[in-house]
Amino acid sequence: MRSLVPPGEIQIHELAIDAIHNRGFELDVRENTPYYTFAHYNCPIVLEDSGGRREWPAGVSVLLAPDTPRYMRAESADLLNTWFHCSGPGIAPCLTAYGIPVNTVLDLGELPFLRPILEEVRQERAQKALYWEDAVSDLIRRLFRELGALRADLDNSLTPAQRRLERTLRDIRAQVHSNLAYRWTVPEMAALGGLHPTWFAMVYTRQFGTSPINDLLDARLKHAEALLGNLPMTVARISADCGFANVEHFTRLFHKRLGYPPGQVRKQSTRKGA
Amino acid sequence: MSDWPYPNPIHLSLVGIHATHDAGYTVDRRAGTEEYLFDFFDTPVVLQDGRERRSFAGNVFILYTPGQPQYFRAEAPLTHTWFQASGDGIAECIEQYRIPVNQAIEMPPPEFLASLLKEAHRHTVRKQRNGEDAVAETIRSLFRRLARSLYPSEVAELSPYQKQVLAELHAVRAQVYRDLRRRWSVDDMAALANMSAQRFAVAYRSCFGTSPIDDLIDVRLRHAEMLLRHLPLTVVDAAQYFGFNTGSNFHVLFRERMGRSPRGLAKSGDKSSERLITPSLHDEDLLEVSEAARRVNLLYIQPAGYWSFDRFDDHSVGDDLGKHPRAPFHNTVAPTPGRCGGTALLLDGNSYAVVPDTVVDTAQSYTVSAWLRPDRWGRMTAISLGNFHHGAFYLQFIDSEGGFKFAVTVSERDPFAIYAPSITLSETGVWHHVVGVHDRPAREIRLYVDGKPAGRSRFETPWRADGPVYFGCCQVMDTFMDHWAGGIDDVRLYDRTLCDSEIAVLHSGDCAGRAGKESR
Repeated sequence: MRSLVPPGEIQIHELAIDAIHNRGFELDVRENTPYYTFAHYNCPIVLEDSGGRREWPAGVSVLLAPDTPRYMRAESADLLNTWFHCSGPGIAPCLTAYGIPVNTVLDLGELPFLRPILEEVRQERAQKALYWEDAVSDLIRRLFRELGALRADLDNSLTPAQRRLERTLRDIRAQVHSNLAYRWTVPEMAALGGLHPTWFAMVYTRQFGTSPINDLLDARLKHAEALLGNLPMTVARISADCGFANVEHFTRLFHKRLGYPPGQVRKQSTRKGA
Repeated sequence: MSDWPYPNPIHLSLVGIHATHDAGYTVDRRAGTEEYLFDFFDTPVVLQDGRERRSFAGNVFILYTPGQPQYFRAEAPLTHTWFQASGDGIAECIEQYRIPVNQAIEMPPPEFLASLLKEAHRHTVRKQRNGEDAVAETIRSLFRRLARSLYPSEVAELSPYQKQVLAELHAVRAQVYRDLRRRWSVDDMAALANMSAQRFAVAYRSCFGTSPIDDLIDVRLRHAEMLLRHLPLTVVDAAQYFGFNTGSNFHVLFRERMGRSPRGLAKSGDKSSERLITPSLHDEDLLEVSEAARRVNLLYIQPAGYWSFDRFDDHSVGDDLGKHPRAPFHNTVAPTPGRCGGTALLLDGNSYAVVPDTVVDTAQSYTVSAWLRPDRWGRMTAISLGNFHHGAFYLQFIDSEGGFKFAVTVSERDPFAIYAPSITLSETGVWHHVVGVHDRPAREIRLYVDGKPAGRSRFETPWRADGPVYFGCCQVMDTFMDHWAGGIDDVRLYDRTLCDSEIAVLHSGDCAGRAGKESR
């Protein structure tokens, strides 16, 4: 058996949520920084990154690698920022996998996930419950993942409205597929996101490559197949659980789409179990 | 180290949240499943647990490994929450968090189970970028919380609320200690903590092991003892100074609690301390003393606080100049042979001491000097002073950052640290003289190791901390962290900068002075 590699540890050394300084505050640290520093600014700020020193509007973030200079100056307003220092072998894989550049100012605007995650980190550090170090590592990985997702969203040249729509569609899909037993209609699905049914069906097909109803049927049949193979429920019960009103209809559809009848799955799994 | 955030993936294939079945529902898989199956039963169920089948009244879970025979049967209608998952990440989690497999474990309903499963399932169906990592993270979190429910007593931790109460009690105690002449009542003290007198007294006793009034009498007597030993006072003066009504009441209490008569103490006097104190008391003598004596006076008598750690009991240590309340210990603090004679504070990496007083004003110039012996590598704080949120300064040993470090934070609201690090150390277990200086006029901080300048850094924004001084840890956001493992000796805090030559004298003079004291 091959050995399992646990995810690399990430330590948080210090963190500050909404730290405030007066206008004119300047920080210039040239050396001796053995950790990564992540900072998000809710104010216009002069920063130095690999592209040099300039003033940025409010809402920028930056991740500075160890041993790079830290420079910031609040020139035109009071300083309001949220930041943390972190280090550990778990960071580098996150940066690669989630596509987060270091020493580059990112103009991503508000980071809705930042505060809740850091509050949770703070809680873990304060309570020190079992495996809290691990929990902190996972939380910081989540933070980097969300940051990477946000950045990729902004990079894929969608307009803000398109991005909002894409997110709405994913949310609708998640809700619909979490309740397969319900007899969904397209207008109902569209209503979840406040969209017009025809328009909804069109953009859904464009995003996921299949129509909302077909996507739902596929998910139901896949779920039914898994249940058939695993649970000793009758085919009738399973078809009802998966939102089919009529067993014959279910059996016919199953056979047509998956290429074999439901009973075959049941027989195979029983043979395997015996 | 691996190249992926989650090198071992976790796939969630089937989820049932509070799923219901009719009575008689039976699952009997002789060869098990190819995936892991986790099942929490809310209602009564008969389970295969090891070799036998046992019936449970509900609130029981089992985690089957792949290939393990599965059997469960419900005699009554069944409700359960379950999931099937695969991937190496599961095995890793189970091992890491010590989750028992293939055996039934009874536990109160885990309220996090349904919400985390919903979240994991949502990540699975939402088809978001890096959704697999989100699933892995959520399932890891689920197992971690399961472990916390299974092994709750391993870490007896205070809730944030308890911590807040504790911090308030410490703050009230510090305030009372600062003004011992005031005729405190429990009501007064309770008002400082915004508690009722009764609740305050109960909380105080559970925190400090003594009632507020007893504690106050004790600290007054200890201070009186210090005054009597060092100053030419009468017993009645001392009694009145600390607000004892009559000399006889004071006398009785003193005998009872300190085990001897205050009068005898006033007469005998500790000769060595007297010798040190006298010059400052008689101005005409002071004129006679040499430059060397003046320096001794400045360095050894004038510190805002001096802890030689040569005398301490099991629970606390006092400062040698009697300027501050005693510092209670938390966890095990033991004496260790001092650097040259006497004793030093030995901390085990868990323990620390708290001086309930803000010894120096960190917004002004100050100096912190100590002999430190780190006994292991790592990140450790020897001395810190700050507010309840973070330190204003830390005197630390951090091997990954070069050795000793004197760090200051940029503001009351922002723990960003600026620091002066030292050269790299080659071994642990050796005493070093470490001094941190904040020079307000020059707007910089300096670090000295073994009498020599080691590093300096610009520091523009000093701020005034109002918390206690910690020996052996620092407090960052309600958390005590970076505990010191090793020795701490001869801590001195000055409310001014010490110049290079004074620090050199401290470094070379401490040993000589101590040797002289020992030989007397």
